[in-house]
Amino acid sequence: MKDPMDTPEQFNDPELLAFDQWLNRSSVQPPANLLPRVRAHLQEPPASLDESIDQLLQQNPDLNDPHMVWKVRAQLQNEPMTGNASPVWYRWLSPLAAAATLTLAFVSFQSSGPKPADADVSLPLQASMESPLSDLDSEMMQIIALASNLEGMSDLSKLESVENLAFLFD
Amino acid sequence: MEDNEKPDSDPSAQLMLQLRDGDEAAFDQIVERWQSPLINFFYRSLSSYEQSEDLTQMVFVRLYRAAPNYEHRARFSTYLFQIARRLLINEFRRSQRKPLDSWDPTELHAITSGQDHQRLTELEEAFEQALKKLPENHRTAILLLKQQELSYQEIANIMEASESAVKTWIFRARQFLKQELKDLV
Repeated sequence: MKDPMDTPEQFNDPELLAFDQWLNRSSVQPPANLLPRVRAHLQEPPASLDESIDQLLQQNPDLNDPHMVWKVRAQLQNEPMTGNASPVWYRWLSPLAAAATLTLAFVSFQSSGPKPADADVSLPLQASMESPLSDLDSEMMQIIALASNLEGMSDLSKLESVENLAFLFD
Repeated sequence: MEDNEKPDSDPSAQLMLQLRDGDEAAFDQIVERWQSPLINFFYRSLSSYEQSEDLTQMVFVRLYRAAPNYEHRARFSTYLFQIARRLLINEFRRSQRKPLDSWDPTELHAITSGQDHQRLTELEEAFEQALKKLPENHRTAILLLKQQELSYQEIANIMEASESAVKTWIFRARQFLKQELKDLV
């Protein structure tokens, strides 16, 4: 049976045809200097919080909701980084610490073996795993945490893997 | 047309890959190619030339900044209009300034800026008013289908919805428009 919504014929009413024609006409022309103006914008630093949130959320498909940026922004406005944020931080730091520990354990396990010289390899690796943690931007962390909370990821099971956390270290 | 077609058959995606690889002139071509579709998409949603121009510029700025990480996963138009819709929703929210808990996506009706209105015939005015009354997702779906001539599948990808949901939105939008415009034509 044919899907009635696949049959545009039923909408061949004169008003809808006229509407479609009106819609198809290009009603406005872009300004002639649009490109130089875009280029000028590109010289400015990406200061927009929206842009930062947007770019960040795009990295995680679970959070890639076009409305999410507003939910996060509203939460940030309502809950500045004060003591209120500590439970969120705690909830995020736990899986972060767990993931980091697991990763280091895995790296250590891999690097341990019959060749004593290989043991040295784990040190720079450990350093490279730890330094991004200390460099994490606190505001971005809070944004991710808030977004995660808004998505209802309360059990954090999705976060308890190094892979799911990898985007934090980009 | 498949949404994940090869860059060879998607010239704008090819340009984006060139931009990613450092070809600045490719960006100029992207702007040249897409500025008109974008500004008209925004204009039909906002009825404000100034806002439409600002958002069009913002799309290109974001596109440029995203270029270093660009991968051809979908048609370029899908990628572009995902950014455009995201900015449009941000703009609706910014203008409406509604508290989060009272927010309903279906309430995202167009913002009218009186000073930007061109002289419209009575019929065009009716078309514009009818379009404004649609919920954001219905209006965006109709614009992408009829103005941008995109496929249902591509619209679904842009709007991060199922194809059947898009068909339903368009069906309802057409029913609403038919009712609103009755006796006018």
